[in-house]
Amino acid sequence: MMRYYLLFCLLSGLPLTAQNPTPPQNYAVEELKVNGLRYTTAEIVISASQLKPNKTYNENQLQKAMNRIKQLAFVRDAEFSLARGSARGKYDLVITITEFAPVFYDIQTNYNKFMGNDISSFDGFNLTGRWFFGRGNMVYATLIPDWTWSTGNPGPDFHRYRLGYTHYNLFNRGIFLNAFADVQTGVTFETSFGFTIESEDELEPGLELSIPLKPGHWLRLLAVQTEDESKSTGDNGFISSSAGENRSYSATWEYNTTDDPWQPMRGMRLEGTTSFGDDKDISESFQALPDSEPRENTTVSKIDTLRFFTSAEVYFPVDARQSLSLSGYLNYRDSDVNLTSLGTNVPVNNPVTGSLENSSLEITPGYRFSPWRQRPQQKFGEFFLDVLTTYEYRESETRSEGMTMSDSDTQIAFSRVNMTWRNAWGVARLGFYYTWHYEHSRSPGGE
Amino acid sequence: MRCAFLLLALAVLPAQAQPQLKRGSELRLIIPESLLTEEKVNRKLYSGLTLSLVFRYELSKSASGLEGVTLVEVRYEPWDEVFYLRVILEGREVQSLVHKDFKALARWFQEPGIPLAVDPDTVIPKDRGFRLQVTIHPFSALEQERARRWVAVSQRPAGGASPAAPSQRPSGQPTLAGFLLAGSIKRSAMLSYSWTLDIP
Repeated sequence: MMRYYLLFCLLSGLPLTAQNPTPPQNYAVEELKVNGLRYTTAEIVISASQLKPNKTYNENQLQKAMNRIKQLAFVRDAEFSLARGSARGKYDLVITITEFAPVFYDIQTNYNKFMGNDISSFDGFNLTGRWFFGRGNMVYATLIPDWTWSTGNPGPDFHRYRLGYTHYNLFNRGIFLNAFADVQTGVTFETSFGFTIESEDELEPGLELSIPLKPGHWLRLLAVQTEDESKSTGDNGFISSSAGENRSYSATWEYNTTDDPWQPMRGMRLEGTTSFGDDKDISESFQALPDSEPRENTTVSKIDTLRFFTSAEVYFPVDARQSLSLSGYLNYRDSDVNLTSLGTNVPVNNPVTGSLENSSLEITPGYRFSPWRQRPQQKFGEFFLDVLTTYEYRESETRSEGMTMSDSDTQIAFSRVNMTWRNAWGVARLGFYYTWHYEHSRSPGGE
Repeated sequence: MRCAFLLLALAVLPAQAQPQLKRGSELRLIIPESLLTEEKVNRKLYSGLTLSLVFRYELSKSASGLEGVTLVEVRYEPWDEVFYLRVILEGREVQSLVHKDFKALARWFQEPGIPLAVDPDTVIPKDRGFRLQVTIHPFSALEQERARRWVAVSQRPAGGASPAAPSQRPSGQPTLAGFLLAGSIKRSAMLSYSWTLDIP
């Protein structure tokens, strides 16, 4: 019993005894220097470390600062060393970084098998370019073409592009400012039930602020606006157009001590998010009828969505090459819907109010193996093998005018094997999913 | 397919000269210099921050459960240009040394070598393999803190009695201190190697 208690203390960081231990080795850091810079700037790296010159740090604080630098998406590796400072007992902290290339690709193919049925697949590709300028500025562009190369159904081509600007040290307080604009190209496609849908280019500007609260803790504020327009025409004389505008605001608290933004082997990440979305859509429809007046309708829909999301990921290294993980999230979303018909010649209940409430829970234990992680020269890149099993529970309820219209719950369990290879230029992934349990029950009309 | 497995095995297997066991007045472990000159280790050795080497060992097919842990901490001090070395055996600091340069440090790993938590009077059958795992890692202060706390706990006299010296402990019975200490620091390893050694 004692052995388990002591093991628990060591793993959780709880003190084993009330007795005061010897203080850890402290270093008076006089100056921070960065080596190995090819594309980025010293200011960005120092700002991410959240270390300040002329302060004293112990090894634990330095190791955590090193992990914060490794969390930067363009840093492949970081090492710390101490050099003599200006006087005895004072040190310069030398941060040596290895960067990812300024142009970076991400390519993936995932095969899915659903309870013994046919395999479907999903492909993904994106290419990002980053350019640093000034002391802490970066502009980046991401292309996400809708390409499909495996056995999946190609579908309509929704290409996405993102242009963004990041400032890494706002007000000299280590605050990240990220301003971006996403564009999704418009498409025209025919549905299987006789409609042609044309959508315009969709614009999605956003602004994100990441404020360091204390080492490892972040407050992230995000505001995103989306505008979209589409038009549908049917072969029965039906024409409909819709213009939508959505604004969403979120506040996230994050605690992150992981050693890698994509393939962590150790550390934990906790997140709590609250978001509010305001969606407004105006739809106009017109249908010419042979023996009567044409039917015209204009509907204004307004949806307010409140969402709470919490997630936790813990990576527990077994040794230098293997790691166990446990991750999970809890998601709750409540949408209030209000539909008002204007200028209509069709009898309708006006206005119609309702709500849609859904929640989900997911738990994923996993195992990660990185066979040549410890090789001194990772000339051939890094390889990761992941084996994960996920259990997911979803619950959904729709209400209109105080009446439950439907409620459903779904339980899914699936396992996946992911193989990831990455080098300085990019990352390639191959995944195999197998859903071995799916249970869905739906009650129309509810109680 | 066979070639793929061979390539994978080559990628995984460490290319290190093998340590050796030396039997004098007590059983010690001789570590080849190549372990310390390996680029990643050598860079860390001169980083000015603590580098830890954890030696976990056990006797294969041993019914007595002979196993133990020795932790060696090395820190290069840029101002004095010397290496500070501490040896922690089964949770107790048993040696604290200063080496004037890398040569002296590397020599210590061969002569006298690493002390093991094995009673000198223990008779170890020669037909058994001695399994050794070495993990190397930058030692975080948190883990130092945990280790120190643990050392403090393990050194606290039980019922007022003074702590037992390593030689007074029953051979082949690893202390809980050593077990937990090794388990805790093993998690931060940047390199790990395993060998089965012949018993002299």
